[in-house]
Amino acid sequence: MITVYRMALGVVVAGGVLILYVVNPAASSIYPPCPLHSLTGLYCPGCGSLRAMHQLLHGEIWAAVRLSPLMVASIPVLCLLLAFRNRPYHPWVCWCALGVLLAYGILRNIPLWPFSCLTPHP
Amino acid sequence: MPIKMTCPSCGKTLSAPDNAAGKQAKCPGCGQIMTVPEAVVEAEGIYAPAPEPESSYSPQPPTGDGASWLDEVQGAAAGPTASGAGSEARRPCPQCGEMIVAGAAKCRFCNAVFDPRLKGVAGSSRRPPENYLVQAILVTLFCCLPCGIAAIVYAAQVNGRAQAGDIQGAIKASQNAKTWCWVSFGLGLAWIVLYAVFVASRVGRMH
Repeated sequence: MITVYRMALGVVVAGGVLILYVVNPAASSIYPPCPLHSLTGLYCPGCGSLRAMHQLLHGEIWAAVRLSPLMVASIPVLCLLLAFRNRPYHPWVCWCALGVLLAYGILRNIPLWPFSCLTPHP
Repeated sequence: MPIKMTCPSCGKTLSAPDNAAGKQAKCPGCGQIMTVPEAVVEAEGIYAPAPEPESSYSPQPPTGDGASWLDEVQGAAAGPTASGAGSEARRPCPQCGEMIVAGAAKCRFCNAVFDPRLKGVAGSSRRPPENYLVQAILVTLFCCLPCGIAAIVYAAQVNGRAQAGDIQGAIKASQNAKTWCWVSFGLGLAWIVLYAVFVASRVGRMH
């Protein structure tokens, strides 16, 4: 049963990656907008991630960083966490992840120079 | 029921009371510091070891100061009981309810750890339950932010409790982290489906 779930998940993820590769989220309205951004105009920590993923899939790393720096930076971290998921590690790691996500979500909404780099730039 | 062990350094056969299990002790023969292993006896009566002579509980240390060698154990709860192992006080394990020695540092049935100094060791040597941190971060970024944050908080609790030796609490936090990941994922999916319906209805009206 678990393998069926895993296979279904794999198919969904592969399909999603294919759609992301073919259709640019910056130029299409087939992707759902971020609820927070469409309601309040604020950027959530995930805003720009789909566009950044599209750029990454096309090898445009700098364009991806301009759209969502945290998303690009989190890829190696997530890979490390996945690799060491069976090793006991300090709860500090989880609290750090939470702190970084929340701080990023707040800072990228400050319209001043060093923080404005964190907003999605097309 | 004394714990029998062999000194890893000089090979001398030693015995210690049940409540010394997991504690540090010095071999009376050579002074080697070792950890007293746990009693291997799982069920009394099925396997009864040969009765130990009372004197083997407290062999004279080579220094000859008259103290039991277990008195050198760091923080040993009590020295060997005079009455012997057979009538040692027992209590039910707070975790699984099996009868264990009152001063036990660790339950021999469910492996629950009671000794605070052992807890850290037991927590780190055991594989902690899955904490779903990676999934939690992913759903925070791509699905529902508040639910993803709840999942990360529970992920941290999994590791914190596992480290403190609270395996039951860690398992519970792990289940909560998993639930929040799925809730966040489900909300994200619901948002996508709603948006798809909305787009489809607009496209339908245009035609």
